[in-house]
Amino acid sequence: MSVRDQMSCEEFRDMVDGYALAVLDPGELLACAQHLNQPGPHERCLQTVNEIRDLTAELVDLLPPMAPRPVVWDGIIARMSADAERLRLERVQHQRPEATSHQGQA
Amino acid sequence: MPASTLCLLEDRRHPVPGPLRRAFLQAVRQALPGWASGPNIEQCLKKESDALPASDRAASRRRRGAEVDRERGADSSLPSRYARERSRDRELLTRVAHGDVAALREIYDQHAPRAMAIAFRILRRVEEAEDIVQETFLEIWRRAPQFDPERGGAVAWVVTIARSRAIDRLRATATVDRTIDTAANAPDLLSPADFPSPTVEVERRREQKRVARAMAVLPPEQRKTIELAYFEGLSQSEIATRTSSPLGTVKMRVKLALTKLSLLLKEEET
Repeated sequence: MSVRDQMSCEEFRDMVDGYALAVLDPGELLACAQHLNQPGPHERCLQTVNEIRDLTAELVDLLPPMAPRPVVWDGIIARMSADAERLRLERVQHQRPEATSHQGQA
Repeated sequence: MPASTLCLLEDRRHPVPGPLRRAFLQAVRQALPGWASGPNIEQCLKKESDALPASDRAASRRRRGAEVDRERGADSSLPSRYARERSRDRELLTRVAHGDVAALREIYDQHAPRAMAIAFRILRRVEEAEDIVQETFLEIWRRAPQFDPERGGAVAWVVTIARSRAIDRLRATATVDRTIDTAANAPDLLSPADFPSPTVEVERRREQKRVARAMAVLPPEQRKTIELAYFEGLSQSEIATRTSSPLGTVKMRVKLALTKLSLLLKEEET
């Protein structure tokens, strides 16, 4: 199926197993993602995707769990802090022109 | 050969025991009405239904009713363990959405070992798997306000993000030419999670056995297809090449395997 074609819900559900497992070829994956982003009620399509993901997530129980090293959590915290700092700076930069324009008016 | 006959043939060669077989046939009929509504499958269903004692037929009807309720959004058919987990995860993710780092840590402690296991299984490198875990939990931190518990569990969310990111990385680095073996054959490469409590470990082993039993019931070619898809991150086209099977056959195996797994796991829970 061409990516430009509009996929119907029936066509989507025919490919939903591959989509939920992320085993489709790139063009098919894109077409499925576009289908879900199309306007219209796709509740049943989404529900099917989520049911399959709920199901396949259970397969992970076959693998022995692995604890990441403590440095992984430290890295998450460091990146969260960096995110927060970046947002703070963006907010400051966003406010600064307003402050400048208020000063100009005064 | 009609696909419905093919399905029945596969079932005869690898029969699903007891009521599972009937449930499987019904699910195939419901899930694939386009090709599984032929006379063969209908006759088979009727024959199996007639063979059931009256009490089993009533139980079967009740089970179907519970499935309909679930489809309509009722949560009552979920086993209590999953209901408990979902309720706890929902509460934690609500707190994460409000910026609660301690709640994120709880989710991390609970689910990071699973994310790490699947990422490592796909990428085979500890450092890369840890990168994926880090990206996964950052994404959960950023997207927690969008999490909708009605659409699936937190475990599935975490695992899906980790697996998708691992597959993206695998495909980006084009290192798909790796040894293929089953999920059970790689544990020596893995390090265990930090000493879980005996209760948690017992529960985990019970879950592992439940899923392993369901996988063992699948016909070997379906099981291998799911292993290559889920644990190796191969696309359906790659699986077709790897197993020298037509692409359509691979797609059908994925569909049949997932339908059967769904039923088997539900039956194991009840």
